[in-house]
Amino acid sequence: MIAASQTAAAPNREAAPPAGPARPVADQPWGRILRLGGVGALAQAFIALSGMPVGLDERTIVEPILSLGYLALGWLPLILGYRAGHEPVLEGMTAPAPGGREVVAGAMTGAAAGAGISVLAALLANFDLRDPLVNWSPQLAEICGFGLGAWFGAAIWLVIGAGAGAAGGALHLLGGRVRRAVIAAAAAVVAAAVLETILTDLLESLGLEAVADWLYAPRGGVSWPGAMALAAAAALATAAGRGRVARARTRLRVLEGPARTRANAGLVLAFGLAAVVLPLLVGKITNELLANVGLFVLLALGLNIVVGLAGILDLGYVAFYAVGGYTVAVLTAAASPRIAPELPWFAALLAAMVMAGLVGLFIGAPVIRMRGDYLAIVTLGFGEIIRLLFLSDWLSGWFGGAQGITNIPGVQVFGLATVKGTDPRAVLYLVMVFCALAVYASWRLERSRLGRAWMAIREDETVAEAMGVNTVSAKLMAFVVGAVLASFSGAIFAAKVGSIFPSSFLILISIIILVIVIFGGMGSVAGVIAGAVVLIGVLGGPRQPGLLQELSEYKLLVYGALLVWIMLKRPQGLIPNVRRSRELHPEEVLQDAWLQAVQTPAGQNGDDDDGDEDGDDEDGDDEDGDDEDGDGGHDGEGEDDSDEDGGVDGRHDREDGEGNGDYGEGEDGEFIGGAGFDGLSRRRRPRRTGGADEPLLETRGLGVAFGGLQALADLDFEVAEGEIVSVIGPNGAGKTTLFNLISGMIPPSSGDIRFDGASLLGMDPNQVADRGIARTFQNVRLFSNMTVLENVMVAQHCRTRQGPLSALLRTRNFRQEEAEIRTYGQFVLKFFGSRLIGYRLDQPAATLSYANRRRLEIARAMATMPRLILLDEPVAGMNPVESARLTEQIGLLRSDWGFTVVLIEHDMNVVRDVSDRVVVLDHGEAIAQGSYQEVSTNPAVIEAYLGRKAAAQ
Amino acid sequence: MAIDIRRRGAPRPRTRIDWFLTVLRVVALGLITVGLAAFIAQQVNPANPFARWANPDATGLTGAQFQGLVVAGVSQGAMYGLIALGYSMVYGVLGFINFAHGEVFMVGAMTGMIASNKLADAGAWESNFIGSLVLIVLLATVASTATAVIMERVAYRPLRGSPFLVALITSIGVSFFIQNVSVVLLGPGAKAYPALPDWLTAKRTPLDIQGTRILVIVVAALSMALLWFLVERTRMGRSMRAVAEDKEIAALMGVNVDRTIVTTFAVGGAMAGVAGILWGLLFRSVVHTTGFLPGIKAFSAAVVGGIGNMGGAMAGGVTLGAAEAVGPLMILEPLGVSGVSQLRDAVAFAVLILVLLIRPSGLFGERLSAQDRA
Repeated sequence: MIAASQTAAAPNREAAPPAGPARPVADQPWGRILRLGGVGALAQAFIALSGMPVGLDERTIVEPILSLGYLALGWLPLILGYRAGHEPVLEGMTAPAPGGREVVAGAMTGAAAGAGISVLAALLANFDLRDPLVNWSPQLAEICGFGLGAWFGAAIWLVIGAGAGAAGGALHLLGGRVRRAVIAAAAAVVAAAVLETILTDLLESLGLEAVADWLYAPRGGVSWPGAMALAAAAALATAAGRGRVARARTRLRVLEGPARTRANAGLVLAFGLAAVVLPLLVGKITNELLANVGLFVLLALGLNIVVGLAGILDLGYVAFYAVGGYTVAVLTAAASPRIAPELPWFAALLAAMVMAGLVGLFIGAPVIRMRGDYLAIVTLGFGEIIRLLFLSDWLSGWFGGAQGITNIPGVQVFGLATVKGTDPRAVLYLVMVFCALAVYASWRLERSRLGRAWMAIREDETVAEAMGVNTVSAKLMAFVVGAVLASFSGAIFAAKVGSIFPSSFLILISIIILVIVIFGGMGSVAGVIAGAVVLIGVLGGPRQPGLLQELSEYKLLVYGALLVWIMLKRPQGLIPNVRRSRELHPEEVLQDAWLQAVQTPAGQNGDDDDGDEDGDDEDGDDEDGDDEDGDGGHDGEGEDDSDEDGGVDGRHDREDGEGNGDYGEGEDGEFIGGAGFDGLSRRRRPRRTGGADEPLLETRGLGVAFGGLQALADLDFEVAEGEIVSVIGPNGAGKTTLFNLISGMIPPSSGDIRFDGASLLGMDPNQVADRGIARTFQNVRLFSNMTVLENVMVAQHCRTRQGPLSALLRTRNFRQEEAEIRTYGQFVLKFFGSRLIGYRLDQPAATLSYANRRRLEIARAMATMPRLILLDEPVAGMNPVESARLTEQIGLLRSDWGFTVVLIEHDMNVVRDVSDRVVVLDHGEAIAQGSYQEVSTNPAVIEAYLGRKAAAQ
Repeated sequence: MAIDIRRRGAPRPRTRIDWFLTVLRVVALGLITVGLAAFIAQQVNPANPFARWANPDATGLTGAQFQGLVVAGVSQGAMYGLIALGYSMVYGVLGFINFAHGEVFMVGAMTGMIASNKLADAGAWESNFIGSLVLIVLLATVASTATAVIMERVAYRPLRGSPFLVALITSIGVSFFIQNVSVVLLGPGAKAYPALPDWLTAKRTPLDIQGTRILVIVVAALSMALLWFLVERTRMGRSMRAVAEDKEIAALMGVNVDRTIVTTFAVGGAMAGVAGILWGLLFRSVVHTTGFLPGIKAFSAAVVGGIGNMGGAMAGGVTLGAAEAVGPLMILEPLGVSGVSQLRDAVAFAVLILVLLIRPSGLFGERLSAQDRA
């Protein structure tokens, strides 16, 4: 299903369907031509009035025919001409062969767009609107009229538009291969013109000055023989290289294990080598530009962790950049107003990291539980507050107010050299070192326990919480990691520029960094780097010029337009992160909603969904950041202030294997291969602490009301260790509400829930999961874009301890724990035979069949190593064979795995076969309890299900 | 569907973060209390040791100064309230923050600037001020409404049903784009409104309030009343409320959801257009970034008043405007902070953060459908 819709979203142009006969020229898509033409005319007039033609006329692309100014006016008719002739072809249908019709459509659209300028040229000649419109100038009139008068201009732009549009339409006529070659040729010429500074530098330092002189005209721009040669070369290369790149990528992708690692290492090495050599070959201006790019790469990598990996839209990100910069400035500069310890840069960097981390915690703690969109605005507010504080007279004794702090010394590298702004090459190397660190950190974190938790939170925060992920501290961690990375950039920025002012830290910068991350691809390290290189390199940063310096007046406009365009057309970005791109497509969301609607049996009661939505209210215990002591329960838990119940719960004895003899020993051995798993499960599963005669779970007078609706009233319910209890009842009886209460997703209005001798009241779902209660959901809620294996790996979150530091350092404990998580995850999946293992391990959960999704959800609950497992309609939607099989397996959950089971089920066969005891709920009250036989003959139960009349019969 | 009763009542702190937040709340409220107490002390007697303790050169405010601050705050707050209506209504209907709504306001202010200058050139501004004012209000309303409607059609409609992050980021892009469209078309400098007639700017007895401020408050109140009538008493308003409650059910009941959403944007845009003119009259200067901070503050006002709640948006605007006008002088200065007028914006954001910390559903309660609350 997913695969199909992806194909639909991005039609594969390589394999064009066979073409039918061409349509007649007169059969034009008039509506589209009018629409595109009208939009084009307005856009062209806007581009002209924005002053781009005049402002960009200086920059030559191809000498002497094309300047950037005319390019700005010419590209749109071309694209629109192409679009006008573009017919979407549905799969399985025959596309009509392109012909004259497409060219004519393109020409008409292009002419309409050109008419925008024609009309403008006429208006320019006859009216003066210079008062509000600053670019209503004689120069514009001259450019529009090619210096030959308004009427000539009006006519010529119609012709130019039509020509460009026809050319665009004619692209359809070319075969795929030729079209690609033509596009590559045009792109090569434009790229060469854009990269003029860098290429000239490179050619000169390689001793190829003659080539540079021939390629580029003396006053800038590609010389026209050079352009021809470039175009020809690019076209030939495209034609020759066709498919090779794709094949190479496929070859790389299918590599596995050490071969893949070697290939990756090779790529990284090549990339690194290029990065080391490049600065040596280019001049000062280019190095300065690259250093700016690097600074933004670093910033964007940090924001990528926050937005891309953890899904938190932090618009006040620039605040941490500022904190890093100011900390270094205060600590290193002699001119710092209040204290001037004149520390070396590296010491100041450490302080900056700590400061940024602390500020991150301070800002993060109040905002992290807010709704995501409020969080964006509030972080933006914090960002402004911090800038205003640096700017204020109040703190100017510390930070110099608007005058800032000046004369910041450079970076002393072991007394060998001083890195400062006057030597951009050294700055570039410094930036690259930190970028490498940031890349490494992103890469490591994404593949760690914390990274999986972030993914799960992005997918479904409520479920992540219920599976034992402390969502609050995981998100806070992302916030702090991002803050620390931003402080690196700030520190380098301070040393590079040598002075620091509040005006360097406008909200604008946050937004530009956001554009980079989105444009490159959220969550994709390669994408973010490419995004920064393209955007900052070509367009320039907020203050820094890019390669197209002439564009600097318009770059913010371009940034804004680009952000909108990319969100509408390609939300996954330039180089997408595979996983995120699936998440961002609205079709997928709709599809999921549809699937859920189909899967939820008709007539499900409303309140069964209650409590789904409390993601931003969760809180919980700490993350034990860098506790590399995987199973040393005591020191890790000692800091834990989350348990009010005297800390008698099982976690303190987790490493103690005693009392878990019932676990996984499976005599029967059908599903667990005859051997119990004695890796991490045995050590960490919460141990029974309550008295032996006490029930495992009991509720006393439990009630909850939603507004006026008493969903559950005064329920007394108990489950003994090792029991299988079914909860049945008509729709709306409060069954799922009971599960939501037990798992901590909604708090009860009255009564108490005790588990294993201690009350669960006031616990967050993740703490409840940690105590040993796992659940499934009525409408299967998997982390659909995570793989099958990752789903069960993330469920072990609360049984594992390794934090970000050990993930970065790859400590022995970290690797051991990862291996255990993986092994135990596979072990749990094996419970369902071969259904969820083998090649399926690495497939996204969304690709599973419906029944397998249900199974995976049970496996995920098992992976949290619970004592009690709550199954919400486990066999709903399964066929009789599947459901009989699952019924047996529910029995095994008790006999082989030692779980106590409570299940909600509507299928009475299952209830009859599996349960020791049945509890019947109706209108929030328990109307009967007992064996299946007793309950099924109870008149009150019959009445509840079938009505009074039936009961009387 | 989901009723989140967790939000009712503050649970007792359990985790470190809870403790931290509790401390934060206590410290913030404590600072406000101490600041206010010191302010009262200095008003009673500027030489009071308590007042002097933190702020050695306390002088106290005169009654006229204080009144001036409150009136300035309330009139600016009324403007925030008008903008906040747009945020609040769109949030109620679509469940996302239209970050670009501040730009809709800016477009109104810019249109008013252009039109009023043209009128002033033609001499109509002086000779027939009321007529000119009505005309520029109309023009600004049309321009703002058009901006909001086009924005919805081009940028937001294709994204309906996307994750909130996608829509929010898009609206940031739209905001950025419109700001810069204004830069490239109209130039980056600040632009002035023509001078207002003397009878309007003169201080009015008996309360000694500037006429412009009275005008702003009156126009805001009238617009609010009109909006209330639209939403509560017309068929269109009924469909807006239905769509806000549940889009699917509304569609099944025969409401044209698309048209209703466009109407919501249009009405919000019109309010922002009116607010744009009021801004022009009050400050007589507009620039492309005019919409940004007022926009964010208006959103804060919507949250402060309770998002989705129209009366709340207006009340939240007035509260926020008053708080940022008097807060620096009544709380920060008595605490010994110097140069407080620079911290006005910081105070506005601090109010937002405080409200979200202490009463996340806003002072007057939010009205959201359960889906939007998720």
